[in-house]
Amino acid sequence: MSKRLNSMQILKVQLPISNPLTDLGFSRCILALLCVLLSGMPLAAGNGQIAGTVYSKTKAAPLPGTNILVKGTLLGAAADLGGEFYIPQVPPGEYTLQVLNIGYQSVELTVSVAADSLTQLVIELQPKAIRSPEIVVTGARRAMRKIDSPVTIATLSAEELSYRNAATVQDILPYESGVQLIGGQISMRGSSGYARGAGSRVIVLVDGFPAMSFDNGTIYWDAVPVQDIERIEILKGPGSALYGSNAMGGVVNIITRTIAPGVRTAVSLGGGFYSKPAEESQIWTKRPLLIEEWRVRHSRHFGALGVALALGRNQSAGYHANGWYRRWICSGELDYILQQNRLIRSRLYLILDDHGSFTEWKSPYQPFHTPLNTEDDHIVTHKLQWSTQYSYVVNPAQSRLLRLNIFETRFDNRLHNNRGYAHSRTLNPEFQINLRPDQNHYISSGVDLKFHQVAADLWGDHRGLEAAVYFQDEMPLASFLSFSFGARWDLNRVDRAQYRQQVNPKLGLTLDLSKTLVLRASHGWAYRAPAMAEMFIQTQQYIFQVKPNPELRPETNRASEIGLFRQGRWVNLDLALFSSAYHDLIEPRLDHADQKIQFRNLTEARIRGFEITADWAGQRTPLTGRVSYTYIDPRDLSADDVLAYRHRHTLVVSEQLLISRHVTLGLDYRYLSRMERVQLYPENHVTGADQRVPVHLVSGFCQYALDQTLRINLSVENLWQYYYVVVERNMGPLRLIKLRIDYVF
Amino acid sequence: MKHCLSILLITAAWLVSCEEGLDPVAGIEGVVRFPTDPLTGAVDFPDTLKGAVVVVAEFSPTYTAVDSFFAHIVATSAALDTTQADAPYYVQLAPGFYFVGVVGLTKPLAEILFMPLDSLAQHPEYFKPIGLYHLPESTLGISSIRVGEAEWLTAIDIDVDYGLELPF
Repeated sequence: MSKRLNSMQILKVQLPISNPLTDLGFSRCILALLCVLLSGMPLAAGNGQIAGTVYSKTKAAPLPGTNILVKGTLLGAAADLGGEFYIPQVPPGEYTLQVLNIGYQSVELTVSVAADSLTQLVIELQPKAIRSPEIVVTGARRAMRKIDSPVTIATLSAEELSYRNAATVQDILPYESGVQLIGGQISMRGSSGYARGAGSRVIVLVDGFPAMSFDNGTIYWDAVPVQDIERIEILKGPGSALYGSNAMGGVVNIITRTIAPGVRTAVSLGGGFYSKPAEESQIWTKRPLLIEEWRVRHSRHFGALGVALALGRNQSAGYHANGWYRRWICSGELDYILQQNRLIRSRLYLILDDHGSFTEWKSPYQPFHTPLNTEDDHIVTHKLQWSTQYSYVVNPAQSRLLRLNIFETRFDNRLHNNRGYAHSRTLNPEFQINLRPDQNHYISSGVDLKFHQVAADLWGDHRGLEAAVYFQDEMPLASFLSFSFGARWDLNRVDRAQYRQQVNPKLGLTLDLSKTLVLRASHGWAYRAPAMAEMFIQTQQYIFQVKPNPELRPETNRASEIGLFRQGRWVNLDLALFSSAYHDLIEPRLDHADQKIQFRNLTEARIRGFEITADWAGQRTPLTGRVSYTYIDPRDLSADDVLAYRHRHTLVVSEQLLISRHVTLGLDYRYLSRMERVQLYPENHVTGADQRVPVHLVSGFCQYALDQTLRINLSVENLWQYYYVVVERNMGPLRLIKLRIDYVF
Repeated sequence: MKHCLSILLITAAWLVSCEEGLDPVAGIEGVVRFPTDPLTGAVDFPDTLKGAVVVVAEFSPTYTAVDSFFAHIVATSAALDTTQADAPYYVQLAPGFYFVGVVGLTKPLAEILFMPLDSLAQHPEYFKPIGLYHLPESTLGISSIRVGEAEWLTAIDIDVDYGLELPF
């Protein structure tokens, strides 16, 4: 809980404030258009500034990444690698600062700001037992405390990515209860089944920008190198009121790091290998199943301009035939601070990828072999994401964002029976304004446009347009009660078809029952527009013919959640009850008139369940732990059956032990109950053939960390070599032993 | 107490997960060899057939007609890739004695695959037998196979003959 720190020092220093407009005059020329669009309110004269440094009380080391929020305003800052932060344009007055950092006791402190003066602080934070990120931005499109969100938001920190030696984001997400990944397709609390990647019901964002191809809704999990990730926020519930289509079942927001001050070079080297199956007949190659990765990133600042360039290479032999990949990842980053209260962030990621194609096993006898004739099947993909954000804190009560995202993907099938291709390009400008007109309103509002262009031989050439307006108001009705209301109006059109519109409202409530007990409730509507692939695919696989359905309607969801969070000194408890009613779910069906398969709006479904999470820490031992259990009841109301490809029970247990100041050991256990229903290859009741089993996975890791400069991670996934199928005729990964060294100089 | 619970859970996980998971399976696999055009090398698959699958029928010495063969089908393979000269297949089976054959489909496979095996037996007209597994030395043109507990038979290869006459 928040508390005052006696050891905190507050220094007030009267310093003259230079005029940044003259210092950075050339930038105004370059960005004249942006300034015309976004300025409009002159810098308030006579304002003060808050700056300072945040340290760990026990380690006496700076605490990068600490969030400092000026309570009751839209002002705030994040500490850089030296632990320093700076908040400009603070009107004179008395303020409460909230200082939050993962792994440390959050504090609130009162500071006075005088006109034309700099208030300088030195803040020391006390380590706390339970480590979890405190600040989230996904729930309301602005920074807020996680416990103030009316919907469940889980967070995965950069530390957790590092511990577990994750190669991509999809390696780490299953460690969050209620999140499952099947063949790269994400499902949150049972929202999605498995449709070979077509049409995701969870939106994946990178710094708020969508990272999904428009044509078939495929998520590109390798779009961001894990070393660049600050944290991952997972909103478990409908997010269409803020994020539109695809956010029907939830939102994954990958937050990247800012460029560190000074000159820095980071080198990352990793390698490892998969164990081979115990049965001789299942061994598909005599070669070792190696994985290798390296990355070099160099960053430096030229005055207000921070630049970073990186190049990396990942390759793996895979744990099954055609499971290999070779990937180049190039990235460029730019942070440009104009006048302290204006910031431009630009990120460019280019990924060149070539990977084997594995659709299903050769047989249950040789489940790691690929079928005859498919040995040379592979897919070449290119991905490019260039996102730029211009943020402008006009004053404590107003901030503006102008964002532009370009997302381009291309894949070329080089399969023995398919040489298809698809090229998709999206241009996504967005304008957002956050307002704090008085103490009773936090308003986030914006306009979001998307222009899509698709060229493909699988589903034809098309153009799409999406336009949306969103609005959300959070109203602290009392010191213990907060109410929020929001809605988003979406308009979309494909080619020259009629415009379709959709309105998705949501309501939220948080009630502080006591200082340590918070009740939350939310009710929201959400939708997903059909992907191009679902509307226009026209192909033949084997003798299955698939025909288009341009009349496909969006599928919708209405969801409710009630949650209770109890924050303790040693144990945090969270309970959530949730229910979702899905309408017009899009699924492939056989048209008996012409015997062709077509995507149609068919299924009515309902998913109910609950989730319990407990985080704890030993009172006398450096041991932290977490248990999370999710139960879902996924019903297909149309067929009066259970929904396919869902795990009814999910359990995640994690333990971490701090051996010394530098060494941490950890152990994870994940359990997924047996899938009750599948669609592609239903089980044969006559022969009893059924390869679905419950999933029990144990993984371990050991990390040696020397300050911020050196980290050595050893991890073992699937420690006990458990054999299981992820989906019909596809085995889960075998034991993976991996070592990675990260060095910064 | 909390840590004891975690340690117990992880220990239990270890007990159930160590080199465990899938049970050994029984079944057969092989390739179906389709005739090819001697000039182009392309697979010569007739337009009158909509597809092909491998079917496995329980062994019975009393088969007297095609329909009785199909009445005893216990499993089918996935659709064969009729564009390939050697189309791989597999069928998972319970231990027992079986006949194995290839049938061309006179109805679209998408329709047939949605029918349960029991009702398929009522429609022998949907199938045109085009191959039977037999040992090279077999004079009958059909051989039974025996699948044992957790036994997987490989190289159960079948040659397609569009003019096949069933030997019973």
